[in-house]
Formats: sequence, C-alpha cells, structure tokens
Amino acid sequence: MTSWPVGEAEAPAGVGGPLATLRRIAASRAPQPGERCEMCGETITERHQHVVNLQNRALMCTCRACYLLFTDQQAALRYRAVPDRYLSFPRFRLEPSSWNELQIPVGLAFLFRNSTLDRMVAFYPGPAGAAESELPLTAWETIVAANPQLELLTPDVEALLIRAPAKRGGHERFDCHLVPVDACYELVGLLRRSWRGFDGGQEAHGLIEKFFAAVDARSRPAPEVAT
Amino acid sequence: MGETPELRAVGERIEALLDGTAAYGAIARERAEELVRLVTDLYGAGLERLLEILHEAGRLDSDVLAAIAGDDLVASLLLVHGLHPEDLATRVERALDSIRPTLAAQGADAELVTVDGAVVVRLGGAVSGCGATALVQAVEASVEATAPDAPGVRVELANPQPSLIPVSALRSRLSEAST
Repeated sequence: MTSWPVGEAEAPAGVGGPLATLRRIAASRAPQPGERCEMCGETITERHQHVVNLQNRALMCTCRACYLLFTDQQAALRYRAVPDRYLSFPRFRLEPSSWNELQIPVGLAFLFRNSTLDRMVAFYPGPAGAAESELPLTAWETIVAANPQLELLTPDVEALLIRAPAKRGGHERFDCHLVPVDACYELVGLLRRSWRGFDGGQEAHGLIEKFFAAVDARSRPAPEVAT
Repeated sequence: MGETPELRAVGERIEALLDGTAAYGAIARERAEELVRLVTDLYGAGLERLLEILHEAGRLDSDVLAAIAGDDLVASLLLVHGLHPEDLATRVERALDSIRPTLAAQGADAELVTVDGAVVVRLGGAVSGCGATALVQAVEASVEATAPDAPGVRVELANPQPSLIPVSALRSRLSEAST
C-alpha cells in the first residue's frame, strides 16, 4: 500500500461532506481576539503605529495601511498619523524660573500644540495618568525664544518631553527631546502602574531613567533652524 | 448514492454567505462565524439531549439507530456535531454498499482496506483508463458524504493498468510537429 500523507493535527477537520462549513465552525472555538486596528479591524502586532483623533484627542491603534492614510499633516482631516521622529536638543536652555512658571509639580512634563484649541498644552505624569497643567502663554513664548529649534514640533502628533535636573546626582541640566506623542502616553502608562507617593518613588524614577536612555539612543540632534 | 441535493446546496450557500461577509472586514467575518457557531452549538446540544432522552427511555434500539443513520439529513447533522451512532468503518461500508450497484454495472467492486488514518478503499475488477477515473471519483464522493470526519479518502486501483495516451494528446503533438 502506498503511503498517504495524513495530517494528524488536522484530523478533526475531515474531508468535508455537504455541510463542511458547519462542521468546521462547530469543531472550532471562538478565536481569541488579538489587538486590532481600531479603524478597519485588521489584526495588528504589538508593535504598531497610532493615529490621533483630533476631536477627542484619543490615540487609535492602526494597521500600516490605515496609518498611511493620515500622514499628511496639512490635510483637513479628523485624524493625524503619529510620525516616528525623535530629536534631541543638545543646546536646550531652560531657566529654573521658566520651568517654575510651567507649574509642573513633578520633574517631568510633555508639551504639545493642540491645533483644535490652537495653543500649547502641558501634561505631567502621575498616579492617575497624565494630568494637565495650565500653561501660561508667556511661559511657552519665553522657552521658544531661547530655543528656536523647538519650532520644529509638529502640532498634535509630536511632543516635547522635558525633564528637570535631578536633585541629587545624575544629569545636571534640563533635558529636552522631541518625541512622538504616543511615546509620552506609553511613559504615562508605565509610570501609572509604578507611581508611589507624590513624586513617584524609586521604581518610577528607575523607569524614567530607562525610558530617557531609550529615547536618547533613538534621537538624532535637531537640525538648525533659520532665526 | 444517498445525498439529498438540497443539503449540498444549503452547505454551499452557507459557505458563500460567510465568504461574502469578509467583504465587510475581518470583524464582520468573525461575527458571522460566531453567530453560526452559537446557533450550531445550540442545535447540536439539542440533538445530543434528544438522543439521550431516547436512550434513557430505552427507545434507541438498533432499528431506530439504523433509521437515523440511513436518513441523509439527520445523519449529516449528527456528523456536524460528532453524534453519529455508527463508527467511521461502518459508515464507509454503508457508503460502499450504496455505490456497489453502480460499480457492478461496470464490472467493478470496492473493498474497504482501512480507516486507520486516511480511509483507503481498493477498487477491484475490470477497471482501467478513463472509466476508472470516473469510478474513483464516484467512490470518493460517496465516502466523503458519509464520512466527512475522515482525515482523507484514498481510492487505490487493485490492478493499475498502464495509462494510454489519449487521442487528443496525439493530435496536438502532430499539429505541433507540422508547424
């Protein structure tokens, strides 16, 4: 007798018969839904890109195809693709007085331009997620005047991640990176799970160190801008 | 061969409708399948309970079982839920019995070799050439209908004949040579 390839693993599937579809469905269990594109429902991997809904500021997980529909930052659309740009500002200058004006109670904040409100907004991480800080208009103008490269920031989808100098040891000056806005929410999510007390505690600070090291590794220096 | 044509038409229609939902995206397709699964599971549980009730009442005797197994619609639905009272070998024998008159008319006969792994049927008698292909397909279709849970069906020829070159193939070779 000649050998016949038998798929042992597929044994319950069988050859079919008139109600093959019903047999297949009855034999299968409901699939465990993985992460999905929030626009079209395609399954996506853990590493995927995001689109900002400009009306409710929500980040939507998207597949590559849907992401590419919204990469035009000038288009009059409700959604904006979050780009993958990381920039460092080696000559970033911030006076402690300007930082105090931002009224950020912790040593970390991210700022971005909300094009719907047409103003800069500032957030800082805390135990309940991102908290918004009232950003005085003049405070932002002072910072940009001292650092014209910050004009490179794309509204809604990119943020400036600013870290104040460490109180003891570590970095000595204000640290600023331009990062995709979804990276800020990732950091907020990380910190929310580990935040202890008012200033975050040791575990949160360890996470912040690691996060900044990763951001630093991905960043290239921001290009000069004509002033 | 005892398969009601409506049954196959319904099966194909279900498949076509499910495939059609894919046009509305992966979620729509999955929801449609889930809907079918829920309904199928519900009726499957009902059929199982029905058989249990008959069994507990002592009414599931061999006559009733034979009648159930002999009814194409009921048998097909029981097979969907793995509730068919007959085992695979018995059902394959039943399929072969149903097709034997057709085979005998052409001087052929079929014999079940094994149901271990794939179902293997040996086709014996005066079978050769193009006629053999049609017989093999008829046996396969008959076995697949009564044993859809078999992982595969294979029909062997007891006396494989050297296949003849069809006339049409000869003609095309001649026309190629002449151009």
